Amino acid sequence: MIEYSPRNIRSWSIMGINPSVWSVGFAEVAEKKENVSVLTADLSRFSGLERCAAKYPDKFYNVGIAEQNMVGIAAGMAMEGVQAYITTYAPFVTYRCADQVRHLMGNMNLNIKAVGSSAGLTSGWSGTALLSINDIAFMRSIPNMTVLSPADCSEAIKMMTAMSEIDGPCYLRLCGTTAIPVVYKEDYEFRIGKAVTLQKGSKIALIATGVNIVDESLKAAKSYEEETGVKPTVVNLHTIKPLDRECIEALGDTHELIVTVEEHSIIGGMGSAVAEVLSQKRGAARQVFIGIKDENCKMGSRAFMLGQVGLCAEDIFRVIKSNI
Amino acid sequence: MNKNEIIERSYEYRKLLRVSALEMAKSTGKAGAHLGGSFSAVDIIATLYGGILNYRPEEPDWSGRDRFITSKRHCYLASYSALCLAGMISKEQLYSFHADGGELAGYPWIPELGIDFSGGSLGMGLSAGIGMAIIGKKRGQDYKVYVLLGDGECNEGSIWESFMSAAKFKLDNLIVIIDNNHLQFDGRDTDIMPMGSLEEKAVAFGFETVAANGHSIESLYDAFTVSHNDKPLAIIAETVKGFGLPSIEDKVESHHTVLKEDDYIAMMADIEGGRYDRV
Repeated sequence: MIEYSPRNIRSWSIMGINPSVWSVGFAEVAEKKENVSVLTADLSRFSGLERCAAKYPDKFYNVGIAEQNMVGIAAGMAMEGVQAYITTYAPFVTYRCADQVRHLMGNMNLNIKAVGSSAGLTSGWSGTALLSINDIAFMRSIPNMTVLSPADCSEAIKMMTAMSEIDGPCYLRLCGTTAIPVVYKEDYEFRIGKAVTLQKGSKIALIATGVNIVDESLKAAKSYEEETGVKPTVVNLHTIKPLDRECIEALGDTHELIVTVEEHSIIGGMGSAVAEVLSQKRGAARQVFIGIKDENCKMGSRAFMLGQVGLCAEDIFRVIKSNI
Repeated sequence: MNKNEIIERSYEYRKLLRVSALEMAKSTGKAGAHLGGSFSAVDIIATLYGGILNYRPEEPDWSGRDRFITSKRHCYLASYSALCLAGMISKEQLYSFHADGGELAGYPWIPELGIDFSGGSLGMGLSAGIGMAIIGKKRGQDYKVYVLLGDGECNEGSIWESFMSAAKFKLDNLIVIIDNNHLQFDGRDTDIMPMGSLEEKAVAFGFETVAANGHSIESLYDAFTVSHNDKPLAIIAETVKGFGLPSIEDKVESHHTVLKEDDYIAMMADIEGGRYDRV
């Protein structure tokens, strides 16, 4: 059993999101389930898979730099009743093998779990080729797909164990590397498809998803409350599909302004998913999108990247102020 | 079954499959069907279901069955006919392949009906077969995995990703058959994308490789029974697209077309006249 103690939570945050997912989350899955495989496309060292591969050599397959084949092999395994985890950089486990994902994971509804590392703007130093800012748009449009976006390491671990209970395709989107900000300082109840209200307020509701982004949204809400006395609601929308419609509809009813915040293109991402709900609702609150605009970024550190596209607390704060 | 029995039954199947495929094609009327790729693969499929594949008609998804993946799904007239002939699907189910919303329309994956893969998006089936073969070996099951590819399909890069990995995992339970009919959608392989020697490529990727006459039951039988210790087996089956249909045989038009009455008559006459009999 994984112990979600404050001490462990702190150490996972330092260790980083990929090792948390594999050394802690997957280890739990592998102990419980005999019929699991992990496949990587030559990215086990970076993915934090090495320990896991050493511990479960009979469950681990490295297929080389060949992502399409990786999904295909996982499909064959899944057709034989194995739960197959595939992992590499987020852009390569999603759109590099997009047709395999669409057909084998989506149409055939196979039990394949895609874990994408360095999603969003994480690979700022590695260049535009490694950015992954359209993956939510793509993956959530695939039938049967569950799309998960953790806010911190403990949530990522919970997602890993929770998705092992689903008999169908999932995408786990991991942003950030190490020194991951902690959103949940202690254990909490996680359920796929059930958004978490981190703080209840009024007038403004921030709906955020992902590492750093939920944390920055909480900070922005705090600044706004300090300045105006109005406490915004902050919701962690960790499951982008299936969407917690009930939560979003309620926010649309009870608040004046909805602000969606995501490390993803504003086209087709989490904000769009929220808009698909709010637009159906008579008299729902207005929505403002914070995300990556439809233009190219300059490259650099994670802090630079997030600042550049306006995903830091002060940027979010400014957007709230100018829209209320 | 011994060799003689398998060959005998395969001969029987090659005729019955042709009749069934013709009737299926006829039933599509003006919509037409994939005649070319079905009639290039029909003898390969006849030999497989004639006795090479281990299957239980009464239990198509039996866990010990040999898996058969039609990665090139353009052979459905023959492969679906084989399921019907083998007793895994009914006539009614067979004809649902071309019914609006039909059970077999769109080439779905239905192991309960003996369909081990949803082919059609080319280049995916071999990877899936490798996954099945890896798990079979890991579990100590002795089933084999047969994957039928088109030569045009081998233009797909993902096919070569798969070839690369099959040898790594020492899949001696994997048999790849390339239906080498030398025609693809837009024309002759040498014009569209020259592939060079598929045999040499398979050898280079670590496969035991054998060439076969894809319209000879004996040649196919010999190829399927080649021993391939610790290695996957690749069979390069030389075939003719639209084989036996005079107006479209070895022609690019055969890919997807309406069955002409004359072609129907010619093939039925050939069947009755003994062209496909064992000599």
